[in-house]
Amino acid sequence: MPDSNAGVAGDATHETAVANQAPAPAGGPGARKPTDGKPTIGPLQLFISFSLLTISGFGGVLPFAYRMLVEKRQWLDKTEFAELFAIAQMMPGPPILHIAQIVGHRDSGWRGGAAAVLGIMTLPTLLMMVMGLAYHQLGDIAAFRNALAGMSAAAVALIIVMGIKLAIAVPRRVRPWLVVVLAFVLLGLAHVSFFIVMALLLPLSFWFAWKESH
Amino acid sequence: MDVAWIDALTGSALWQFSAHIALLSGTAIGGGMIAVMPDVHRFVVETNHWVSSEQFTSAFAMAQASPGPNFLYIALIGWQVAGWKGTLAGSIAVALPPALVCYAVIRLGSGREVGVLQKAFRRSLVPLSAGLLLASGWVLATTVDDTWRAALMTMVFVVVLLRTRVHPLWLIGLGALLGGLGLL
Repeated sequence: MPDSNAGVAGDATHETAVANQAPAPAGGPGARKPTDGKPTIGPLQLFISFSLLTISGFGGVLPFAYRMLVEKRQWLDKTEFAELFAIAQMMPGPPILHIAQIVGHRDSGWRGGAAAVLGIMTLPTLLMMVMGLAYHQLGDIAAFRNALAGMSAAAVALIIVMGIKLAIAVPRRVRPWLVVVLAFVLLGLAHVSFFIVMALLLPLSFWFAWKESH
Repeated sequence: MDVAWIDALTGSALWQFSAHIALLSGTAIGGGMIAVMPDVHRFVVETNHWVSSEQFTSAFAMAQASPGPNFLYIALIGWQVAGWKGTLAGSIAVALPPALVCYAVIRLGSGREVGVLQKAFRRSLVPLSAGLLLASGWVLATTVDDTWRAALMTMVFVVVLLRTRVHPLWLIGLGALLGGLGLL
């Protein structure tokens, strides 16, 4: 498992390393193995477990998810986690939500999936309301604003590092790097809408990857 | 038929914000909600002027320093757009479209027959995600690092994070300290 400061990018590079050996699980991501004798986990337990997970995660919840799901509760083994992560990466939105939903769904159907997602979302949302209020109350104090500016400058470093770690995983060939550069220029410099960038680059990148695998 | 209430609803910042976030979360493949940050910034700061650039980056920093998934910065920007309702709407808009997609995928299953396509798809996401995340970093850096000292600190922290296994929360705390003391 990558270190906790790797965040999304660390897991993504981790994923690219293991994805090639990990085929999609038979019967789809929602299916439980028939040989699996583990007792099913109810929606309430899922909600509580994922609530505890989400508030223990600083700077990204994914590494903590691995610790809880694989090491502590053993709801998944290593390979299952890697497979789940690969599947979650291919769906739109935050991978952690998909992992929670699939784990929940496997044991308690759509109610379990909903309970797990609500577990991830509820406490942080309430916390963000408190933070919003705090910003509203303290936002005029110069020292508070300066501290936030300092925090922001540090937080930027995290994002840049995620990008660099992923870029290291990009094959050193012209076509993949053309996609990296185009995505950076269009979204970062030209401020083109995300939808337009994706509509242009997802097919292009897919075509490149497809050609290289043939 | 009186549709004034529909106009009032769809014309509100709360609605437009939620709809935009929902569209993003429903299409953000590869990199999640951090990769769409330049688009969120463009929409709420440049296009609609709901939030100042400073509020935007503050929201991002506060969300990073709080426990919970880092995509919750959306909920905090929601607070600045429309108060607690904006936070709630932001959270729902981030979570619901992906959850529906995930539900559909679970129900349809994902058989092995699409294995080759899946592999190519997954490989195509890596350069895309890298480019999107670097763009996010660039957009944030150009708004946040308004002094050379702040820019220097960001660069030093990038090197530290790449070279060591220090927990990022320490660096955020150090940034808060240096900023609060007026050293940046």
